[in-house]
Amino acid sequence: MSDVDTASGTDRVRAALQAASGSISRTRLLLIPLLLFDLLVFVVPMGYLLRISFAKRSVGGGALQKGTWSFDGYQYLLDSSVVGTVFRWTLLFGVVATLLAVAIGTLYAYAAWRASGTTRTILLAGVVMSMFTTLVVKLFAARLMLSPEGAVNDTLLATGVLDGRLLLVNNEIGVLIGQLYIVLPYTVLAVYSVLTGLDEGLVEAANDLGATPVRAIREVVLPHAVPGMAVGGIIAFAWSAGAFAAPLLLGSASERTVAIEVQNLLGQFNYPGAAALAVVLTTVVLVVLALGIAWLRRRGGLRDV
Amino acid sequence: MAGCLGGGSGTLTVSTWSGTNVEVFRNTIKPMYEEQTGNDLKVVGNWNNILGKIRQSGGDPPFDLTVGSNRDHYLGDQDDLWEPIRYDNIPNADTVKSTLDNNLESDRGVPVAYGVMGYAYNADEMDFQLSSWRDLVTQDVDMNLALPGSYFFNTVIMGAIATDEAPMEQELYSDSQRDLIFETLREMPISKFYEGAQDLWTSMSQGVTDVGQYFYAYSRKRDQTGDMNIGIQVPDRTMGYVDHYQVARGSSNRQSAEEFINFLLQEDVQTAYAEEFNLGMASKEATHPEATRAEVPIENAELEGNTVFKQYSQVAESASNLNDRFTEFQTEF
Repeated sequence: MSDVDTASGTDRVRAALQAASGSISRTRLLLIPLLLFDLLVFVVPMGYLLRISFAKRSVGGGALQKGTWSFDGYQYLLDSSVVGTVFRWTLLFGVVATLLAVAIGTLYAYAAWRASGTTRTILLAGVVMSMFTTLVVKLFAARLMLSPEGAVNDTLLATGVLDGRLLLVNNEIGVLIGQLYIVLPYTVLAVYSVLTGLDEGLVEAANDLGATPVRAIREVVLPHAVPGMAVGGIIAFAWSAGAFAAPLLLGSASERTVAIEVQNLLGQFNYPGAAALAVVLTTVVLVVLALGIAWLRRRGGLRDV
Repeated sequence: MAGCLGGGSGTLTVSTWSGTNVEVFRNTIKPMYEEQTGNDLKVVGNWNNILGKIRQSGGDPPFDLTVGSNRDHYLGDQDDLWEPIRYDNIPNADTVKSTLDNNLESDRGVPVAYGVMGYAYNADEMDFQLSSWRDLVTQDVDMNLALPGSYFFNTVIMGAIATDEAPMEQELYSDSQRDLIFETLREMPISKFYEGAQDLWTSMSQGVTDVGQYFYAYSRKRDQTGDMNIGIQVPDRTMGYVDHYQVARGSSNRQSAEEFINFLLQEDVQTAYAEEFNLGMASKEATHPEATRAEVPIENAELEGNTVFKQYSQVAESASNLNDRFTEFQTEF
């Protein structure tokens, strides 16, 4: 190999490296606005919330004393006779709502996936349209529908299904229905999105080979749907653990969630206590999110969603 | 400086309760004030976070004076959010009923009006018979009662009055007697703790509850403007609240704000206010309509003996504990 060839090869490598380096720099530059956005919209407010949780309450019972450091907020959480009960109820509610959302969402998504033409369009439009409606309007409508004098009771009475009115609001049933109304569209779409990657021929093949429809779903469809179910579950849990509107509009005082308790503490001007409670809840949700993502990565299913 | 008699700059801005109060201020009080003084008045409605708005204003508050609950006043006072009242600018303060005047333990707020709590019920669904809060535990009542759930004060004072172990609400101030209040409340036919007026009226119209503890004036206004037939009854001994007005710290219209409070206490203004909204008026000289006189204690002697006006300073130290107990209590239903 001549010196000329060697020099030319080195130049090419240098040029390639410079091009790659330029490309990386451009990529980094493009990331800056996104990082700034993340910083301003997520990191700074969360940092501020964390800071408030370590501030001292104002002497006169006011919001907080600026510039002070204290564990008062977290100590309040430990001392309060209410917070523990509220936290346990919130987590239990989050888990139940998530399980129901994933179960119903998977069935719905499967039905939409198997349907065709107008039926599929109607099923998917039903889910998407629900997401276009404001949360409070949606829940207020649900409250009017489910109340003792509402349309659901009227219909059940008129058709003879019931002989007395059911109390479907002001209790945990109302809260669960309301929360499912909120989170179900997300779980349906998460599961549906992964099902669209499944060849329907595989289900037909399973049936041809003698599998019952239930077995075909269990052994062909569900394993494929798991990443979508997991993502839908994570979304449902995050929404439900932070539930505020559904318990407030459709529940009673017994269905008190952490978010409602945070509002209560703000009303008492206990900002450090409210911030501490919000920080603890956010941490729990982030841990669940991290565990879910780690599990999906290990399973190799993150790319399917 | 536009039209301010007593110095400062621009329009005088007053903050009052959202809803009916704002409407009365805009439609009745503002024209009277502007006609009488030539000043400009801006009326804004607030319900929550009044103190937060002043705190976050950096010394330039979004309103010159504001209404506030007894608790707002107390907490604002602790944080030095109110200007001291210069009574020389408010000669009409002399007409204020002494019971109301004594409600605050500071010289930074002036009473203008007051309200009392009563039974509000769906008159199409039930024939209401009770006349005292105590009746809820002594009478065999078949009802679904709604109580305010956002804060302990109104429900717990009602429980104290109904307990009847000590005069009026005195059980509230004794650690050993507070348990009795919650025992009394447990005996009541509670079906719901409501969060705000809309929650109460919706629950009532939809059959979740049929009786609620609510303010007389607001219930009456709802009866007049809504489509539900609401009956309202105020027990002889009940709880109430005072609408104090206070000047926000940092207001550039302090003098005008004080003069406005004086204007609010004028006999004709108080009477006009009372005609539009069934509150009790702070001035002894005000004339009240029949519907108010029938249910709301008007004379000072009636107020003193039969109405418990909330005083946050008396429970401030134990407020957090009481609120926790109340929250815990609510989860039993």
